[in-house]
Amino acid sequence: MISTVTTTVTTVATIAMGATLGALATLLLILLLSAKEVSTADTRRTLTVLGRSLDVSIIPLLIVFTLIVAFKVLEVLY
Amino acid sequence: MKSELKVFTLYLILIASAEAVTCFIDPSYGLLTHSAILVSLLTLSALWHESNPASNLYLSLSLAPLIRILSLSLPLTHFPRYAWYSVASIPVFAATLVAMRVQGIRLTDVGVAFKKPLAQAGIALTGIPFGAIEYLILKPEPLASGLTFRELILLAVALVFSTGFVEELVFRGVLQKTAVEALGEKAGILGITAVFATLHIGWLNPLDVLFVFSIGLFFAFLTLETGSIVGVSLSHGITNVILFLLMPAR
Repeated sequence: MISTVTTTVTTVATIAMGATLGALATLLLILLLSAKEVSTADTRRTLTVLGRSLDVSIIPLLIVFTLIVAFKVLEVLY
Repeated sequence: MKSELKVFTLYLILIASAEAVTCFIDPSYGLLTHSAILVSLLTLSALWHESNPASNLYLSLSLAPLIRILSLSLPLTHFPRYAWYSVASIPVFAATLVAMRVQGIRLTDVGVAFKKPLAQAGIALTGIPFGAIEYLILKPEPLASGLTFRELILLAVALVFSTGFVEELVFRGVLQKTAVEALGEKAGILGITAVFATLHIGWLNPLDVLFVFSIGLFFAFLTLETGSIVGVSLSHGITNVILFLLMPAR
């Protein structure tokens, strides 16, 4: 199922598996965005800190999500 | 054993297990396991923000599972093989910069500084034998073939930045700094080098994991001695240029 795994590069052998992994990462992004929304609505220090820390994973996952969507749109158009 | 070291060791084992699940069982389960570790590290870091000095280490350590989550979910197969490393480095670089901003770490704090230029040049040259040795261990397919000299140079520069600089900024920069502060010099360096080697399990070559661990220790020591990641970044990048571009094209 896995064809390449290095420190920063991993590719899977099947397109279906790639789609599943993309969907799982999108679910994780939704979960993290929801957690950020909830934590920043509260004034407690721990939750404010958590809200800021979540950006560490939210921003790169947004980049991945943008790429996934861009390629899906291109697939549909061409 | 200090409680911080116990917690760190536990996370090291968890990350290694998640890597094993990714490589030997199923990448989807691997991604889920890495996601659970990521959420747990971010939560722990926030909970211990005021009471535990290792809070920053756990936030930085979240970059390790995040690297695998990002690399698994990126649609890399849509890109040509030679562009994979550059594309994969973009979200990792973004995550590292955000982690630094959240912790108030400046680039100079993590060794992005030109100190001792002659020593850095010497360190950079160590990438040549390292690349040749790693090629003999792994024998990877060439990253690209039939390139012109100009394309080869451009790809080499991209590889030096995306693998050399970005990976060294993560491991010898942010992670090493926070680990040394929280766990002390010896344990911090050993721990982060173990995390670095763990992320190479996917090559399915125990000798390479051992080699990467040794190189990681060497880079960690040099970073600590010189206070700069410039030399080790160049060495890491040159290692990969030799490993993926020059040696396979012979």
